[in-house]
Amino acid sequence: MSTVITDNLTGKTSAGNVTITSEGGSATMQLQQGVAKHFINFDASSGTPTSQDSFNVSSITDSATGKFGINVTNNYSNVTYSLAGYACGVNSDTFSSDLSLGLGTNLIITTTSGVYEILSYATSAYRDSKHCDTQGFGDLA
Amino acid sequence: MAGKIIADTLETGAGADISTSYVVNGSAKAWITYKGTSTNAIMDSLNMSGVVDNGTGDYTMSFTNNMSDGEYSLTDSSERLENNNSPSITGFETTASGSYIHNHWNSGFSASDMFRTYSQATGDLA
Repeated sequence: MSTVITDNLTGKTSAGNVTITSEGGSATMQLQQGVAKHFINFDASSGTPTSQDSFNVSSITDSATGKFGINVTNNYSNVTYSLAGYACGVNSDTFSSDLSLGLGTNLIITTTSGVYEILSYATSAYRDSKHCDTQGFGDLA
Repeated sequence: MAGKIIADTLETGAGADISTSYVVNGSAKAWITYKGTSTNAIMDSLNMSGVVDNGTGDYTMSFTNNMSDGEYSLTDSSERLENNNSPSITGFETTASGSYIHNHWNSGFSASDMFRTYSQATGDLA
């Protein structure tokens, strides 16, 4: 077993391009492109969004009920980054038939390279959900 | 000549370490930001060779380098209308090693094209 001890991985030929070999061994891919550049898990059930865990997120803006701005610390290089999102649980962990679970309850509006809005929607209304999770993939500035 | 490191673990100077298996297995192997209204276009992507518009809200996303099978994990989100708070519903069907189908509806479960749709694939590459 071997261990590399380092604080930085930088490409030798191109600084932003470190490749990794696929699990099957037949392909390589760019490491920087595949890692999530930010993520956050926050709880909005009290009416005020509170971060539970995050990476590269500076703050959450409470825009309105079920509407939140996610502000990243280190910005993306453009506004075409790819976002995933999920919200569930209205006010508690308990599943409710009043709640539409799943990714389909989310709508994300990309605004700038440093902030985007995530919406939690269920049963014809925006809701402050217990579990709000979102991640982003793309190029950092 | 490019350098190459063969290692099982990455460790920071502070002593935190992570198995390289987490780096390789935990990285998204493909992602895409796709514009599905007006002039359809791939806005940004990793490891995506193209998109086929099968019909309203129905897109086939194809990989450049295939996954090892059709059992990879997909996540997504979407924006139905530009700068408009219109909810959307999304889902996946028919995941194969080389492609997957991404479906979209409006809040009334009517098929709907998306101003932007986002999806990501995590799993093993072939």
